[in-house]
Amino acid sequence: MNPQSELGMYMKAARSKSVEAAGRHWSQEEMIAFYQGQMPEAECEASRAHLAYCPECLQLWRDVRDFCAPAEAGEAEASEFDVRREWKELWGRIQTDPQTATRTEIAHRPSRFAWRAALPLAASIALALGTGTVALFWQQERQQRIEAQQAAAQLQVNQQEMQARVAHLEQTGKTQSQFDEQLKLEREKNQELKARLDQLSLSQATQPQTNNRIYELQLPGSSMRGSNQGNKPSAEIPISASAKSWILRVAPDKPEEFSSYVIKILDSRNATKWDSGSLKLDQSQNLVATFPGSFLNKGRYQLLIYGQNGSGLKLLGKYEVRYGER
Amino acid sequence: MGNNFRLLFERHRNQVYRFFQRKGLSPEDCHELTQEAFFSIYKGLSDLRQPAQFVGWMFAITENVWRSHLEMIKAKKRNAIVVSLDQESDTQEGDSPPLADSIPDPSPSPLESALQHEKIEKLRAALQHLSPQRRRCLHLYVAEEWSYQEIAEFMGLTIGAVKAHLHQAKMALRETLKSDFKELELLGRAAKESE
Repeated sequence: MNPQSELGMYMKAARSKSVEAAGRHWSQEEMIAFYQGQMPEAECEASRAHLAYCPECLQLWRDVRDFCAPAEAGEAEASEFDVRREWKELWGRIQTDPQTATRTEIAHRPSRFAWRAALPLAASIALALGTGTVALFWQQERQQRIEAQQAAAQLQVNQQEMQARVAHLEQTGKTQSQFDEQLKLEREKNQELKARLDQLSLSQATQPQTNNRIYELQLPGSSMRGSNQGNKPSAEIPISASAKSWILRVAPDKPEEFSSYVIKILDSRNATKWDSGSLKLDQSQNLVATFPGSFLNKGRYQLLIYGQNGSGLKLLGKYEVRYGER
Repeated sequence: MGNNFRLLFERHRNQVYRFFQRKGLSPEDCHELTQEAFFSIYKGLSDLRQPAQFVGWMFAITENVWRSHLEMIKAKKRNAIVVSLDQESDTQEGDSPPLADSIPDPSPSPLESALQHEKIEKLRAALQHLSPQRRRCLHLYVAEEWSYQEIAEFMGLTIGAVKAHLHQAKMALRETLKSDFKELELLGRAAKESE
């Protein structure tokens, strides 16, 4: 046994009788706040007394550090391709696992009693609110999505600005303390934005699950070509009338080609039923739009996807939506 | 829900993966446990009451996955080789003693025990004379075998300050305990040699 480890054994034995080791164990939230420096300094100092001598709390501190500390030089980040592949694997498991699959089905099938009780209530609500309910639901969801996109974009801009400023500080040879102070401020800003972004994503992800369908479209190229040109739609999208909502996820072939996109839905008389306005791609370079299931009447519609640069629109895809038709 | 969950996955996947990586797991295990953690996160999302606490909640799930993994490894080790202590030892001779007889008794004699107790009490008294910061630095370095970097991070000090505290603490202990702890003499010598 080396001398240090023998002394260590005696020190551990001495610790068990130490007054400082007394005290309650820390919760995970407290430890995260402590690690992130969100605890007042006086409280931190008092808390360290217990922490330093409590093996359980020390282990928790190490775990929190391993979880929260940013990537170090030797730790490679996964490529976008790997993340996508892993996401597909995870999502496949979620959709096929009996635990998650069953839960989804049960959650969406109201009991007979509840259905009967809910019917008059639903009817009265529908009469009272009319189509405004749909608009409100849609508006709220759209607002949240736009907010999330703005926060994500802001985060990206901030990170780019931070990198530029760090490079500038290095070039101008500022003192270490100035450099540290600047870096700390930037990190705090980014933390706030990340937290906001998480909240927005969570508020959408934790909403009660509904019977929604996802339709994924791959845009073939920068614009419609060949047989797709003209009035002929390139594909049909059959949407069940029982879907409470449906999600359209479009993956443009060349995402960098347009600064934004526009989706329009036209009825059989070419009247616009819906115009998305200017939409940005999400972090995965997808265009995502969520629709409440009931906002269209049964029938056939045209779904048009445009790429937008400035005020110019370019038609990229045309699809036929069959809503509630078999 | 899937779409937003995908955003959460893309945003936090590296953080969760890194946690397992820092525990020294292989890339295959890191991948498998990351998938497991996000699967649990998905299952628990509807129970999350305070979205503001998401990071803490995600940490709790990740840590649970890690603990379960450790338990599984321990269980595998336990089941690996089971040999009864009553079983005869594997020798060429006929009547060999049971395995239990060949294992030395690790418990100290009463005299050793009394001496150890006395040393512990002396060490404890000597440690009380150190400042709290030095005492904590020494404890983390010697008893917990933490690195300078870890201690500095935990204590909110620079690495230089940690080294200085450790040096002062060892010097102070060596003065008062040199007759009882040969280890401190050796530590002091080792430090001088390394200088």
